[in-house]
Amino acid sequence: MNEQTRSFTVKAAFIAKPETLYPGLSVEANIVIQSKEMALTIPRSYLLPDSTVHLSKGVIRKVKVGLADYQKVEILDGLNKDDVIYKPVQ
Amino acid sequence: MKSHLIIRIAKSLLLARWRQTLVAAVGVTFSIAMFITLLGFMNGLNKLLDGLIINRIAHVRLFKEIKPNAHQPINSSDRFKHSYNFIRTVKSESSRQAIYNSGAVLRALKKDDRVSGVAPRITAQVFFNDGVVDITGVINGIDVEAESHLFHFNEYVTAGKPIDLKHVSSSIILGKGLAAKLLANIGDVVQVTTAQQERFSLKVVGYFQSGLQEVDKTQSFASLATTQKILARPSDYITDIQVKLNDLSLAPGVAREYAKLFDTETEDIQTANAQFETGSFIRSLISYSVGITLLIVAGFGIYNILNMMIYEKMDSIAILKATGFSGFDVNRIFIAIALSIGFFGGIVGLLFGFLLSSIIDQIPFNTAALPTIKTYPIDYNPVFYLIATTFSLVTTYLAGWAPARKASKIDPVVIIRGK
Repeated sequence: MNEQTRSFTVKAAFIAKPETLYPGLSVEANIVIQSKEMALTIPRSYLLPDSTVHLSKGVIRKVKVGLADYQKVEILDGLNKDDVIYKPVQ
Repeated sequence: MKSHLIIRIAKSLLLARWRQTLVAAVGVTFSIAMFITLLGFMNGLNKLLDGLIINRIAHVRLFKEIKPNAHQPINSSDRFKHSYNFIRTVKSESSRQAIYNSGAVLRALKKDDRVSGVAPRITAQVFFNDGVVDITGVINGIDVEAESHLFHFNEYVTAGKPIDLKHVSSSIILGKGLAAKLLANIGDVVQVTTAQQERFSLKVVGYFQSGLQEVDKTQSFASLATTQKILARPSDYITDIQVKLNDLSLAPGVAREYAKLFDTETEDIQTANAQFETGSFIRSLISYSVGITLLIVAGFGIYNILNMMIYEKMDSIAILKATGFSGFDVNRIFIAIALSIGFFGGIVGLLFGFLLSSIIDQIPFNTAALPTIKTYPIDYNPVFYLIATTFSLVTTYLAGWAPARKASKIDPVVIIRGK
């Protein structure tokens, strides 16, 4: 790791070499560090503070969240795919 | 024949009370003169302030912004296309700030007949080294001729010749504030360090003074070639293209078109500087309303004097009517009186307004912020004179209308019997 820039140098090789390569080309890549089948996600806006969701008739349930970005949140525990949740009023 | 007679009667009525007439006319003269001076001064100032900003800003600016790619590679891979991918620590797509294929873009822009001129630019962040102190600054790589032609660059160079940037290699024009910080005189050499830790010596060939203190403290100018050399970039490295259009109002549309065509970020002048137009508009509005208020006040003066005149000349009006003048004729006499006060007062007012404007135009106005301005700015727009004339006639007509109507309704029998 480069201490100053806090970045790593990654060496990569082509699996299938392109026909022509131009000088000054750059590459952009995402590194997959984990993938999960059958994960349950909900939209981020449905998640209330303190990792809770709003079920019907004012029932608030606490859930365990995993990965999250600004669009979606992974639910690890506390909900299943048949549950109905409500979007909180802004 | 009849109108000739009416004018003669009006004239003798005016001259019989010449002092009152003079007071009314002076009121009009004063308001017209102030109206002209105020608008000329205000608009001159507006133009100056707009010029300070708008003349120096491109109508459309093409540039490349560093930002993360909206389409991350994982979302197009076959395996992960259909899953939801949480992506962490996304990095901007590449460090390349230059506009792609800039040569071809410039040629295409120059061929476009809506474009009046194009100026390429490079922005380089550097440190100016002054002994042990490093001062952050910006070197703008410019095409001196294009910048002078389009953005009046030469007008803001207060010392030295702008064209020296082109003729003297490794030369720089420093902002006045920056030069003062660096204690650099013309002919001196300043040291700069780039973000890549490269050091360069540049010769100062002039000072630049924009009128905006913050700009003068950080900005400096060098030729395109010098800046490319400092940044160690090839000769097609250009980070900004400034476009000036023939018609400013087309800018937003053209900006959108170029963004699509050349695949760069664009910014148009209306979006970037909307507040200046609003500022100018408000200033004009204020000066017009003050000017028109002055004219209306003068109108009330005329109304008063005409009213007085009618009360005093009740007998004369009665006699006029008794000798066969109709109410309409009497009405015309008084309207003619009002209009002639408005007309002559207005003409003299225009003259005085012009004189007053020219006097203000001669008053020295030297400020460090505005190097090209030596006297107060005045705009001698003929439109103001036209508005003033029209308005003086309209207000005096309206001021004369009510008294004239009253005079025309006088019953001669009542007046004569009353005596």
